[in-house]
Amino acid sequence: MINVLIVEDENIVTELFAHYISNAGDRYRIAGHVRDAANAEVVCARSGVDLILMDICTAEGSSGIDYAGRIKKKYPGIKIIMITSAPEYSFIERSRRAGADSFWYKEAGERQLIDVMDRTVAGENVWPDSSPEIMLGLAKSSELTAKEKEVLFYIVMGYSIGEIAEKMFVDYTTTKTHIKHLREKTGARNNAELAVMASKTRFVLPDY
Amino acid sequence: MRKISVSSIKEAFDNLPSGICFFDSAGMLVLINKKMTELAFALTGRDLQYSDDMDILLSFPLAADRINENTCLLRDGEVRQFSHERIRAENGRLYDRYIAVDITEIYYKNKQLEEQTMRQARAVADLERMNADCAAAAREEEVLFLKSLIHNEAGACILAARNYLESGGKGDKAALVEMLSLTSDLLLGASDSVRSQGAVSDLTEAVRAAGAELVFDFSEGTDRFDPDSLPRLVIDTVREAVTNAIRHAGADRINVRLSREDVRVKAVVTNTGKLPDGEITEGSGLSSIRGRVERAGGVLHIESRPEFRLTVIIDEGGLSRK
Repeated sequence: MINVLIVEDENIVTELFAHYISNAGDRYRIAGHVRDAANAEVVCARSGVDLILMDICTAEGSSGIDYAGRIKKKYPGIKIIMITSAPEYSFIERSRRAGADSFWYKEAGERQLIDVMDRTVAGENVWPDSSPEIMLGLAKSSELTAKEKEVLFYIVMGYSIGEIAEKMFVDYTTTKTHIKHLREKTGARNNAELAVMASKTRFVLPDY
Repeated sequence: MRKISVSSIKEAFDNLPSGICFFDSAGMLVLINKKMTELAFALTGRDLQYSDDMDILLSFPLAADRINENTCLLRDGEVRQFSHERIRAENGRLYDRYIAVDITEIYYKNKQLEEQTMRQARAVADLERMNADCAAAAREEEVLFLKSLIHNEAGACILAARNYLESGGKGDKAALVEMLSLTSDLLLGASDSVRSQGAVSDLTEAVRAAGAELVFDFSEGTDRFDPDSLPRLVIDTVREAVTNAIRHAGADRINVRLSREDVRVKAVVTNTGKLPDGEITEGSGLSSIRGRVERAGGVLHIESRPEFRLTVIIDEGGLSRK
């Protein structure tokens, strides 16, 4: 029996996961449910959690990615599946770096979740190739380069061009060129519009 | 040596892009260039003769728009800014000088800039609002999607119930009852979409899920308050102590004694687990918490004898909840 901890701040989602898990037969048991990713570690301290379904955007603004990293360091045997519905550009990569085992987008259905759980428990890592494609103004998200996405992240954070250059260890002109390309691709008239596009579509969620 | 004649001065004046004219101390027009003559005609419908005419001109009666007390928009789209100065000539006589400068380009550029600034201000306001609402929007979208799934589940359940009833009770009743129960749970979850009960309530539930108990009480002389109102830093500190108590001391019960005096909050965490073997060595979790507490001007004190006791004192002033 695999003990599953659900980290999810929406009751409705938790109920749905519980429903999926109970439909999967006897191989899974729900060990607990917490709304704030920060509390996942407390449950892991004793109750023999084997698998965590870890939402990324959880209660109290806690990032599931941050706490997945902490739990993996303390309890490397616990498998963690990161879960989100946001098409945020960096979640997959950051989850990998945090040591998560698999990644699942909520839009997929019941069978896919149980399949990802089964494969993860069996030692496989299941990762989507990329975040879901969305439109940022006139551009498809896949048309942006990695550097342009990074610049966009800092624009949403409210950094000036000089500050972005400093953060990315590039010079001012290079940063301006990235911004120029971002504007050309998306059709945004200024940085504020770029930031609005990125936030509105949840392509950049700096708080998590 | 060539002498500058009156007519050459007039010619040079006429070629100036700005309108300019002079009145003597008696108010008589003594010099006016071509541009000012054109402007006077465009703005009043007649020529200038006396300084009093300037009062009429500066009320811009025939202008397309009066931008401010000394600036107007002419009907041909040109923007002129007028200024007046009393000057003393070398011969000691006083003259009133009026100049009308062409600020058309600056005016339209400024207007463009103002529009751009307004657009940017709107975009920034949108951004701020969206950043604040982003998590809420993400949740709403997610919940909407899941509600549609639940709707499908409920539909299938109703269909199965109808088939069962129409067949006169033939079929697997137990499976149907289980399906109804699951659907009812889902619907209850859907109608009770509360995100969080509060950070301390969530922590208490997590401790319960770990098979232990978290109990808050209050020091003597302290008015009771809702522990969910504690600053996030205090809750994070308590959480770290709780995790260690369960993990290392096998505690079944963790007590947190709270006191609050003005803006100073104090929490003392003890547990019923096994006593520490020696002095507590701070791991990365506690060290990180200590750093945060001290940066916030607070105090973190850990005792190993006679029992484990963690005390955190924080001034709430200037601390955010997060």
